[in-house]
Amino acid sequence: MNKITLAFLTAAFFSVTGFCGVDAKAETDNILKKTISQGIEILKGKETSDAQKLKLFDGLLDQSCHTDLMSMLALGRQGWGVFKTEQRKEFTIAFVNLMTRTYYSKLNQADVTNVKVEYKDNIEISKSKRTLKTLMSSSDNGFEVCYKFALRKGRWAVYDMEVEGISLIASYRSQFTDFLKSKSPAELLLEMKSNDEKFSAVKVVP
Amino acid sequence: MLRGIMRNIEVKSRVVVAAFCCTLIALSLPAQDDDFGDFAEFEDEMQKKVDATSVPDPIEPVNRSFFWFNDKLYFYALKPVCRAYKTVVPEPPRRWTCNFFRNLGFPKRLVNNLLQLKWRGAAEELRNFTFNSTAGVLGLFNVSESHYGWEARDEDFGQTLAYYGAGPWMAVHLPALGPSNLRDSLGMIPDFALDPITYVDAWGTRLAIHSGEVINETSLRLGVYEGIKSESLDPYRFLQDAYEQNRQKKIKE
Repeated sequence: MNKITLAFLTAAFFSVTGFCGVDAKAETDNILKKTISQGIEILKGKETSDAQKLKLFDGLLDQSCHTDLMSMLALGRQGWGVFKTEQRKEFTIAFVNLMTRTYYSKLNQADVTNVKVEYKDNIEISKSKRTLKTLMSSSDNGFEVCYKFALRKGRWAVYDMEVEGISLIASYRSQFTDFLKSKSPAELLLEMKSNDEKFSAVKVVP
Repeated sequence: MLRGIMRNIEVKSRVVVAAFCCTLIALSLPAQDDDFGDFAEFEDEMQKKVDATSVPDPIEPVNRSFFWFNDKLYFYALKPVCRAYKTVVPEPPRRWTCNFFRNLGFPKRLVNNLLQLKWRGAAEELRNFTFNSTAGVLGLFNVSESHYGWEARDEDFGQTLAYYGAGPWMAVHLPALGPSNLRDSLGMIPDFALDPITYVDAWGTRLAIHSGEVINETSLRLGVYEGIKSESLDPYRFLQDAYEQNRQKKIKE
């Protein structure tokens, strides 16, 4: 009886430890492919307005990113520490809005009808971290986008993305750190809000 | 006696089973999810990235004034000219022109590949130049990339200096050229000597060719700078930071 129990437990042990790497690769691949194809479909939708598209993008980012972790990383340990609980919530919302706008406008500038995505390496960094490299190309040009995935609360999701080596989170972090050297968290939130309003009012025309 | 040994074995096997169960439960549990539990791991990774790309900016007021100058230059001079040019010249010829100038950058890329002992890179550069200059009609068509998927890699003297251990030293924002650092700015001098346009006799013609190149290239990227401005709290900081991160990637390649 004991031998059977041990055999069962051993099998279960190896199924958990041995195959989680394979599952994680497939899972992160699927998440990214699904998100990018949905994103392109949203952009291609001629009938929907910019505001509607942005709302759809917001939902897309929410389901595929660890938005809370991204917000914390954008401020850094020190920056996050000076924010009060309510301000943290407010910041997370404002930062997600900012990321949505950034991602949306970047993709919107590309020729989405001809966009091609080549999925390259999906590398395991640790049991809870993976990076997935893609090559995005359209008639304009091609650029490398590296998505960083983390396993948190049992869910794989993106916590940073690098476009040609430029990290989205690190770039914002430098700006926020600089801002908070001379100004308060409340002023940062106000600045982010007014920035968001400006974007809603003025559409960037090339 | 025998009963004692049997009991001992039974106890041991129970301990083993309990240990297995604990391991399984531990492995099945999700990662730590408190505010700063697993955050520390990501925070350290991000801080390393930020530290690796942060460059001292001792002449920040001067740099910011050049940023302001470039911003006005873009909106009041370059952009209107580029929009007019874009209206008159269709996209394919503008892309061909861009390919032509890129092909002219071959000596700079070849020499810097060699200086960095990148033999493979130098061979690829030579191959791409040969294909693009012949089958690609003097470089107008980037056949090496479009037909064969051979991507060109940017190599310049700034990267060569970095290869031999030079750091960025300090942030520099150049008038009309934008974000840079002292190492890369100095690296522009030998690169300039490797640019075939430098050897065009009349300075007026040289200036016209360089201006044409900038206008043509900017016409293909209109809207990018506007996007950066609208999405950044501090566009100057963003540009300097993005420049350093991108350079670091190129240096590592």
